[in-house]
Amino acid sequence: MKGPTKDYRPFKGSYGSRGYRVLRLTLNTSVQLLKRTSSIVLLVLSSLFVFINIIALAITPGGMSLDDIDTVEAGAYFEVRPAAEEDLYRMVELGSAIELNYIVSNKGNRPGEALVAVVPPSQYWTGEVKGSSTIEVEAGSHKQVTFEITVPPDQGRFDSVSEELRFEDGRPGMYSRRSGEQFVTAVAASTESLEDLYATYQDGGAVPMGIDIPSYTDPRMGVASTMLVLGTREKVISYDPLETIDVPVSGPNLTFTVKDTFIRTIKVKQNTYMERSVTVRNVGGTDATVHLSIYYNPLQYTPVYMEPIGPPNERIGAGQSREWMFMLNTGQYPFNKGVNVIVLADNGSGPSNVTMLEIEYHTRSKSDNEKLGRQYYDMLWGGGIRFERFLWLVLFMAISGAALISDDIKNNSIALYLSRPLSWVDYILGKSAGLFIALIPISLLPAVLLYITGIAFSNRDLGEVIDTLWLLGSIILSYLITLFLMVSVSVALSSVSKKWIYAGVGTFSLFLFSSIISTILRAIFDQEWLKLIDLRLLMKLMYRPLFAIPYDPGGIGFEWYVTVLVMAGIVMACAATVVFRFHHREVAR
Amino acid sequence: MLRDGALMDGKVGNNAVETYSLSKLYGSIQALNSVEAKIPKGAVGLLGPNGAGKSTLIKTVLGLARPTSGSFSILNEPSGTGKATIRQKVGYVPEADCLIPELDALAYVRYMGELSGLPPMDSMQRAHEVLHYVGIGEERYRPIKTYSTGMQQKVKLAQAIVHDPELVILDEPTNGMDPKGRQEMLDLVRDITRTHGKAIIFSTHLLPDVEYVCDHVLIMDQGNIVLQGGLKELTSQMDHYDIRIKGDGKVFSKILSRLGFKFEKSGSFFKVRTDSDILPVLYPALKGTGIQVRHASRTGLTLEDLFMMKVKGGGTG
Repeated sequence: MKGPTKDYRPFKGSYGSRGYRVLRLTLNTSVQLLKRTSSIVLLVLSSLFVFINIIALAITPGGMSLDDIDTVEAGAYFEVRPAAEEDLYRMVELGSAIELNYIVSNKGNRPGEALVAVVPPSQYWTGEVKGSSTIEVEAGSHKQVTFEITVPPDQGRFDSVSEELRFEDGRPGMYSRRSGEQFVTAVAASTESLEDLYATYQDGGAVPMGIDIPSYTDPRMGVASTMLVLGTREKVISYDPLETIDVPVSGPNLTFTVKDTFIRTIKVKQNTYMERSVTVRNVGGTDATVHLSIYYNPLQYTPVYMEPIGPPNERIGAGQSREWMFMLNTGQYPFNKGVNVIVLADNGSGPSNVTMLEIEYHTRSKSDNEKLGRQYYDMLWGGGIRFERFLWLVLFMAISGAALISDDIKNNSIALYLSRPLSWVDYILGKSAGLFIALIPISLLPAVLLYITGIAFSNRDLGEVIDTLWLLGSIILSYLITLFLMVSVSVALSSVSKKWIYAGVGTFSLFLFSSIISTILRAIFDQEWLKLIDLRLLMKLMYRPLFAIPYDPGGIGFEWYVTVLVMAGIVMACAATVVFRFHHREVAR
Repeated sequence: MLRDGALMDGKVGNNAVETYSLSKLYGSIQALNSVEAKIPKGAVGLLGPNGAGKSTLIKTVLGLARPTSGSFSILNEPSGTGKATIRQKVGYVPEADCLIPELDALAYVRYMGELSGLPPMDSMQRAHEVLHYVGIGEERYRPIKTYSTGMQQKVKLAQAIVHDPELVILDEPTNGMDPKGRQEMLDLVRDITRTHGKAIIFSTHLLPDVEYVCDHVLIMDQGNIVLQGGLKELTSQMDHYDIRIKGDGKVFSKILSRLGFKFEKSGSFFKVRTDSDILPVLYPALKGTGIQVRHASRTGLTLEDLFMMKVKGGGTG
């Protein structure tokens, strides 16, 4: 660059376009905003919280990582199968012990650790299991584990009926039912008929004991469980001929031959919140009462919050169906490796007129996208919009953003801007874009950093990372919408007065106090539509579809497009304010 | 002799600013009243008392205020064309404080250069040059809020010329400056127009400033242009007699009135307004009155005289 001259020299270069001038206004505005002391303080505080969040992501055992999968399809990563056919199903004398061998195969593409355990089905089981084992298995390899199971002499007092139950691949399955006053555990599938089994039992002989091998999970989680099902019976309950139905599940299709009872194990990882539902359909010709039970295996010592939504007993008309929802929250405990949740439904005790109930088990979030979206939605926008992140953003808006136009009005700088080759529209665009950019380090950037951190600690390969890019897009889009809304409000309020404090208080109140105002007004007027005043609630609801979470009108009582319309209305009102100030009132006069 | 309100000379289309029945209302206040002005390229003083409409005229032609009716052209660009094109060629020194106090002068002037379309490097270089030109030295790295009024005015001038405009509009640029600073500012403005050939419109109510800098003058009052023309032409074509007498001043006043002259009396001094030779009619009228004319000289009008004559109330206010 040449040094200064003492004389005035004409400019020989070329002038930039309109876009260039607006860009310079934008960049200069951003820099000036970010250089303010208040902005620097807020950025430092915000960064501190982001850093804490990232550390938490990194050190959480099992992780709050992206693929914190709550259910894993059977065989998706690990497969546990009996080493021999006799390990699958064994006749055992009461009071004796057996040894069962299993092959644990790692079907994933990286090494993993599997905990293979024999889990007794209920507190009625008092037998001893030795051999719970944690083993490391290389990708594509397998190892054998052995369990020794002691069957106590007095075991086996329960009342049950059972029939053929098998997976499509032929493996035996299990089921159980409630009958009379006694709790029924389960009975393994047997190639023998129930009548034969009962006869064996009555004769004091050995009764069948079967092993069911349900699903296994992510190698990172390292949990595999085996359900040991043991049973005898005291009497034979008559039953109707069975029918075979297909039951759609989220895993491999199971073909059940079921009379009236269904059990399903759901594997839930720690620190997981999820919603599930069970749909029961009466496919018979008469009405039936259905009981739904949800419980978890008490031996796993896992605090689980389960709340069935709706009455546990429901009468279902012929050909009708009923959906039960329930929530699970496993909390975050260091040694919590997961939980088995058992869903049980039946059509009442004893013989029933209901010939069949078709039971669908499905998750509320069927796809990985939805699970992933839910996690980040909760992290970024959940909890009434994550306060610590939202607070910095609103404070930045209230302190720095509020002065955006009002300082120029106060300093009479607007006349100078507008005497340049800039229209008032250019001025507003440049200033707004400048604020928009200045807000990114305190809003969008931390969110993207959290996404990157989550990916980094999730052990995903490149293909899997690419599969999550939609989430990055959703995060960015949600913040762009937020910033657009907030900048609109800030610019409008800032253009109203030459005192920035008015705009600051207005911005702060609008975004942080609207919830309180909405609550108070609803308490007074008892009008549900007053929820629309709650900006934070509107934003939260509006972003659900972006994160692959179904919009829940129950939260606000309006369809999603109403929230969008309200938001659009706010932006339009802001635009009208600016037009009035700059075009009609000639603010630079 | 130039008629009041007559258009100045200059070729059509070659003026810095032309207005056509330009009016501006602020509510019920008529700030501009069908103003017809042709402001030539050169150094033009825009004179008028406070509230005369000077700033409104400037802001209107800059596009900062929309005219209620009428139109204008600036640097041969009609008002309907893109304002950006016009503003690229115009520099503006507002009357009010307009600086960004937190910025240093260099950053501020560079910023304004960029907003005018200068590339970043050129803008930085031009900022250094014009700040040096207006006399802001190492102070350019200090925040503007630490500057004296005079320095701030210089920074305002620097930002107005950083993009090398054809026309510089200065609205009260010497307001609040001390005599030394004021003289420096006037020298700068005169250098800009006389040495570097920039057209300027110099709005002020300080008549000596206009006399020092400008070649042309345009006087406004109550939203109207009451006089416009070349300064030399105006002051040479209209003149008066300065007369000092010995004798009865009241009688002399009556004689002047009887002869149809307008005059101002201050003790034994009389300023008699006339553009013709007064003495051939005055001496015969004084015969027998005992009044002696001790001094009589024909003198041209000053700008102040013009101003006082044309502005209602003499420009007070």
